Amino acid sequence: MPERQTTNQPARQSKLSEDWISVIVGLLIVLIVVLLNVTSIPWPLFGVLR
Amino acid sequence: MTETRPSRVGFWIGLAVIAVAAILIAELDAGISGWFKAQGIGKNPLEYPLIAVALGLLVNGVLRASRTHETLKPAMKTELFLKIGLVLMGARLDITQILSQGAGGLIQAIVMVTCVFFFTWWIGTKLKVNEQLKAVMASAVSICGVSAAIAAAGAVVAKKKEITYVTALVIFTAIPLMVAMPWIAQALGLPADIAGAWFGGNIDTTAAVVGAGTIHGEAAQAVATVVKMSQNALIGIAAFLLAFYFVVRVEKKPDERPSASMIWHRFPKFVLGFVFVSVLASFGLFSKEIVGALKTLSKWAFAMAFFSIGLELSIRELGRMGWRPLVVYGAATVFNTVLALGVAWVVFGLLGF
Repeated sequence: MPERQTTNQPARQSKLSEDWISVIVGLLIVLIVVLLNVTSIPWPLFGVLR
Repeated sequence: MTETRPSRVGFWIGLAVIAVAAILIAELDAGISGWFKAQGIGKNPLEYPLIAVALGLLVNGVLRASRTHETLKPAMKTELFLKIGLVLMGARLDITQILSQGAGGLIQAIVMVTCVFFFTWWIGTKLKVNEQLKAVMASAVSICGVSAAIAAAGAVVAKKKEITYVTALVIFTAIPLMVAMPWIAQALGLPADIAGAWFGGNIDTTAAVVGAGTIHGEAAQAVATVVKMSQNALIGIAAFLLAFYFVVRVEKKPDERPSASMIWHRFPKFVLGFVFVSVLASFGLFSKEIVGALKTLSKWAFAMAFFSIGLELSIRELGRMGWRPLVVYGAATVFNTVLALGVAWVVFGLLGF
């Protein structure tokens, strides 16, 4: 039986690390926002179409 | 080795394209919302995920026509963007609020998730949809759309095209439901709490749930959000159970003994980040403004993810998956819609939660 191919895991390690990367990046962003007391993020950035 | 440099260049160029696209999506979202407001329609029915996928599809066509699609592919990290957005979204999940205000929401979420998951699984089995796609679909329809699909995909090791397929279905079905359900609720004369519970229990994307609640009114929006939050809280449990089931049943080899490490290996780790951030939020560690900032940051990550979905969509590949998954998804959505109304009516109407 051919092995199941998942396009997001040409190598199993890359999928695993991507999972952990998202946790690390996400927590880092939370840390930066809390430490710098960022209270607002713009959406949209310029508001040219408003 | 010779491919490293071009793929790195492709990655950075691709990332720049995706970042610029996210800025454009936010501008378009604000512009379209403003236009609808000017027409007297309070809520933009074209949510930003739809704008992002549509723009992604457009750029996808241009890249394929100019044969540059493969060059920029290393930057199309749909899952990574989604998972970062989901970790940040944990700040919106206040567990104490669910426990104190949302007993009804929690009951509804547990009933709905269990019934809809097994219904989708059953109909998927009848129509011979493969186990992985069935698991991703059942999680998406029953729990909370894209985030549950991503968590389930990690647990069952689904193919990337299966995730893209389900994600596209989630986005495209959420929009008509968001617009139609408040209108139907009003036509049926549903009280605000039952209507809100119906929206929260049925619509798959959080943005569209909030949208439907907003269209109906503030009271409905509050209940819809609690029900949706309760369903979001079940992602981790569902991911664990799916990883467990696939290790001990579906993919168990005759000479292999299932172990805890095999389940851990499959468990989507981003769920830990999501739960950790929501625990911090539940302990009141973030001010309301910081939660707002994190919510907007997650929106930026999702805009990049949904644009990447559009970039990666291959109509030919999706067409090869056939009509069966589409029928399963359609039937599950109809079942979800009808059942959510019944459960909302019992929990919030008859039982009076």
